[in-house]
Amino acid sequence: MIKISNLVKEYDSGLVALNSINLTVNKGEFVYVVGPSGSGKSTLLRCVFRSEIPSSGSVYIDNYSLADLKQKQIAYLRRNIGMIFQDFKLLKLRNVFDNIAFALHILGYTRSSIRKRVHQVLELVGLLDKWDQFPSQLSGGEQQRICIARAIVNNPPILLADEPTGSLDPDTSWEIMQLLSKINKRKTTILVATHNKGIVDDLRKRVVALEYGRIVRDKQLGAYDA
Amino acid sequence: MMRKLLFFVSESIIGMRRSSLMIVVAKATIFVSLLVFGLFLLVNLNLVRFSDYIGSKLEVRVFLNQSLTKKEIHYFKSKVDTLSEVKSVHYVDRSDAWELFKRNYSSLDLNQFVDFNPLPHSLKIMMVDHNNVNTLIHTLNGFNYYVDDVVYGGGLADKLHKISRFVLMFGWIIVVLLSFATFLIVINTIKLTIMNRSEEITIMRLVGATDMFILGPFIMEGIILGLSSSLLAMGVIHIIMKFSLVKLNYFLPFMFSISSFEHLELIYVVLVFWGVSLGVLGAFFSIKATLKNTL
Repeated sequence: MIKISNLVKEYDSGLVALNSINLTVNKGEFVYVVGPSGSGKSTLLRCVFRSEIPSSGSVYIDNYSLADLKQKQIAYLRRNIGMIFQDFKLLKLRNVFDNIAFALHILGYTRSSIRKRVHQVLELVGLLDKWDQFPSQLSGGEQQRICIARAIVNNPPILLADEPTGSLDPDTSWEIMQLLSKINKRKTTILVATHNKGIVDDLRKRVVALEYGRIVRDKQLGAYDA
Repeated sequence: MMRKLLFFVSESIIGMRRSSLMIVVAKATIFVSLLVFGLFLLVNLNLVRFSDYIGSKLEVRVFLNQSLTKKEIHYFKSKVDTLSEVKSVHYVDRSDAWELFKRNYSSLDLNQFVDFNPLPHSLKIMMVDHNNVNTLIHTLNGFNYYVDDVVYGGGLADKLHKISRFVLMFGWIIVVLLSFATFLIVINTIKLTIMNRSEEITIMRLVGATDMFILGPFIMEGIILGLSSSLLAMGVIHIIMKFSLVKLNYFLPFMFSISSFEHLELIYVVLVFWGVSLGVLGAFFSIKATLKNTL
């Protein structure tokens, strides 16, 4: 499903964020990408999301190379990849319903099917009663749930989560990970970049550890440190 | 398609409502620019009319050889009539001309100076385009058997016409410069409203919106902005014309023919077209620049 070969990302400043990354993620897998700050976790996810252009190497999704995509094709790619951000990236001046519905408007859904899908996804993330609230009226955990709801509302086959629990307390973090685990059961491939040791150790999944932009460990049912 | 269009319209209304202050600034800018543009256009189109008016009053008078028979005069008149520069030819009999002359100068006792009619038969020629007067005079002088003299009575009028042409050309340059300035102002104003929403644009990109989808609501905003501003400018120009015309006609009655409402419809069409174009192009160029910087 996702195949990364010899991926290198070097910034203009000379900083090498990723160095010779080789990684294959199969359909339906749940993978933690762990490592300290600056190890290249977020950069790796951004390369898969095509919001970062690699210096060399390649990223394939379902055997399609992301290297030569045009802007329109990038848009179509992103419709098949849900992205969860640490800072949520919600539209502040729109309510919960509109934030999620927006992604469906892009895909050309009818108003009635948008209402139905948003209702379903809000039920899944447990925020059906908050549909008319604005992001500023929600807690961090609730905002992250909305971000997840937006990312999965069109059932993308891949879900990328960049530090989804970065600004949340342990209980809320646990709830978010439970939710991602539930989504993974629907055969959605999930990559979670995190430095939250607790959630990685509690939910034993495949763990890919990065240090200084290189993969130093790749282990099934792994833990944060081993 | 219809669904998308409706979505763009609703999104643009939401967008405009949210950045209402910026929209008011943008609208005021476009309105003032279009108003000045429209007034310049009005003055210029009136100058065109004025220029044509003067031109239509110019005539060429051909004095015929005294020895010509009626048949020869008739033949020559019909020949002149076929010239491409000629709009109409009117034969003036020497006795009619003398009567008219005497009537015009009735205060003078002409019999004291001349006891016979000194005027020849003549042809009064109106031109299609007075710019071709030299060609016509040259052609007429070629008929030396028939023609005694060719007189072009529009010396002063011609000068006036040339001045009006110069002012007109200057006016058009001003209109073009003004259009360009308006365009830059509008782009900048719309850019400010878009900068205000750059985060929103980034998020739209991240959730898979194509450039066309992001552009749509902004283009729609541009259309609404341009249309409403141009309608406002149209209204003000109409009011200005309505009240100034009454006064103008009173003080300068000869201006009546050049300051009518005749050209207003054309100006209104140009204003709406230019207003909408400004809105659309302004939105397009501003958003394109923003999109270029968003991955």
